Amino acid sequence: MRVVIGLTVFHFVLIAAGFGVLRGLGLLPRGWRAAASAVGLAFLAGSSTVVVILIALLVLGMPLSLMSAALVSLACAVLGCVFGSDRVPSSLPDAPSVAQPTAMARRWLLRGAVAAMGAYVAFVAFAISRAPTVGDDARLWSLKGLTLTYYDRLRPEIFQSSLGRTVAHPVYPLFQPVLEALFNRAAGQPELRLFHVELWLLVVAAIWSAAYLLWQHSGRNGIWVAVLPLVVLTPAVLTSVSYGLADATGSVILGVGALTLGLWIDRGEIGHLGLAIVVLAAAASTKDEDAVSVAVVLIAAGVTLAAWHDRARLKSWSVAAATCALLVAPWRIWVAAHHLTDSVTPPLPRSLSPVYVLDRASELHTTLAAMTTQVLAQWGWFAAIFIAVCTVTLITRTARQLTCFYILSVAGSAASLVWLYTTTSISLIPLLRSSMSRTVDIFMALTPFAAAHLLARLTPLRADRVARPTTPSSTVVGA
Amino acid sequence: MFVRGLARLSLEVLGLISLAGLVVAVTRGRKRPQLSDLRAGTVVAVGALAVALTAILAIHQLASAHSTLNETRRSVVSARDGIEHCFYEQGAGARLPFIRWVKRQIGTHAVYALDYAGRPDVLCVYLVMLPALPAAVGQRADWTIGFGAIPSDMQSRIRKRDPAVRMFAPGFALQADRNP
Repeated sequence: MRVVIGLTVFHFVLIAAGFGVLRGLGLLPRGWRAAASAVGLAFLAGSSTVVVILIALLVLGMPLSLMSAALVSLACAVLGCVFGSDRVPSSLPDAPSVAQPTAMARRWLLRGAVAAMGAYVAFVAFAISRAPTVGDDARLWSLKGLTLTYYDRLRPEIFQSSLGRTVAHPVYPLFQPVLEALFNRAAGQPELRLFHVELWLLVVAAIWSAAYLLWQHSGRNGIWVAVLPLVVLTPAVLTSVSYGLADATGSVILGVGALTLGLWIDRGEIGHLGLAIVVLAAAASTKDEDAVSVAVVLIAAGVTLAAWHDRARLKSWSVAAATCALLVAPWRIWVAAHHLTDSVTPPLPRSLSPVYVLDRASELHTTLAAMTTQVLAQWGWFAAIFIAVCTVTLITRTARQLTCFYILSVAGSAASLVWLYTTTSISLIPLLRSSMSRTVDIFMALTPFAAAHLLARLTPLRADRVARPTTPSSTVVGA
Repeated sequence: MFVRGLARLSLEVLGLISLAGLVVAVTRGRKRPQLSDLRAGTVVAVGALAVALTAILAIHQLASAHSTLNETRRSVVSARDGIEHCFYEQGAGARLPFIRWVKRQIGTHAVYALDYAGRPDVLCVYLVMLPALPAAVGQRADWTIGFGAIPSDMQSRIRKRDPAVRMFAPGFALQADRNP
């Protein structure tokens, strides 16, 4: 009973913080019914904001506790309520008229699909709720998470490798361990098995968030929405979550971050940029590979804006990129201050030299072969869908700026991963065997979010919505 | 492998665009197709593929005994076994009774030094030993644990029947360094 009550309150607090963040960014629609449809996004935004702030406070020496989490959440909720504003109601897409038979059928079809997905989500939660702690989860994520559960500070024995032995990936950031520690404290006891469900909820919240953002802000819906729930059925995602790994979680959070950045590029609403900062900071605080991809996504946005001579928004972008870096910086400074290194980190600055990379042609080919195999085996049709959709948007001259942003983001993230593997100083074959099946998640998880956004842009507006702008014209910058 | 993968990917992309073209051909009939038709055709083609894949994957995950989901569902463990499972992962389950015994002896939040040999890996031992912590370099431990290997100092104390050293089994012992 203690577990149920504790975890329920914990989630309500995170959702309240998320609603505060969304209201502060002007992304929360007015009305209870509209707000209820944003619960998934609120959970994701709340978790991202609260955990990222708590990591910074932990590094600065403030103890990690439920009280500090509650205070940060309260601050988010109150500041959002005081300084924020409701979203303009006219931007909400109208519900189809009940009188039309096709609209009625569509509505019932949608309800049926949502109910089926709800049942599937519940079944997965049940299936993984008593899975054991194994592999990297035991040796990396839960080891740190359980330490932070029992001790409210960064104990040097576990976090600084001061044992004379190497702790696995000491430089990896703390999003998952901090969330796990808060989860265990809220439950009143270590609940390592049940934490798998929390990771699953984060993945589901990410998909919910993407569907909600596209539904609310593109004003278009249709059969293309099916691309998003396909993510939660992907074997790569299910395996990662059931093993308690951070790969799928970090990747889908990165996907939502890229999507919100894409919405800002497409529509110019500053609230999306604010949300992108928070979500991308959370992704960068999950795994090192995610941090590299966050940098790639931000650079891709900057390059796209520069290529379209969008100087006004380049200023906003530079402020956003600096803020994101500021949010991620505390842990990185702490790692540097304690001279922590990772064995898989490429030798810098030598590995940045193109000559050095090209000199390793054999490693490059091995990496590319392994990556292609894993992309097709783990993520099925996602790569083909993304490439086909990008091809059509470019041919039909639809949202070319947005398409370029997504192509640069996905290609850049894949290239950064190829670079990491090709230039690493440790034995490549065992590393590829043990990790490539998971690390491809980082850029492949971007593809469904990008494809869904581009498909939304390809979808023709229904006749009853063409004449009505979905946002005030003053906030729309991109076309 | 790389070339074969690229070939498969190219065929998938071509297949999808062809499907979109087919949708356009069916919906437009003999009329000249416009770019907007290709847009709509792509949305329908990708959406239909996604719906089909969703159905296939859902049926596989729920119905197949060997699916990721069903295999996970069958690996149900208790809360304690969940944390200790990394021992079984490496075939070291027989060593768990010793660790449980040590945890009862030293209590929570103790600091221990580990003299260690064999399986599982040391990170797994650290996890199971929490909230007791391993001693950092230069830090004095409350306890020394002989885990598969008894250090020479501890061996000589065992021979002298020192009450500070408690034997669990050959190769497994616990020595009190601060609170004998």
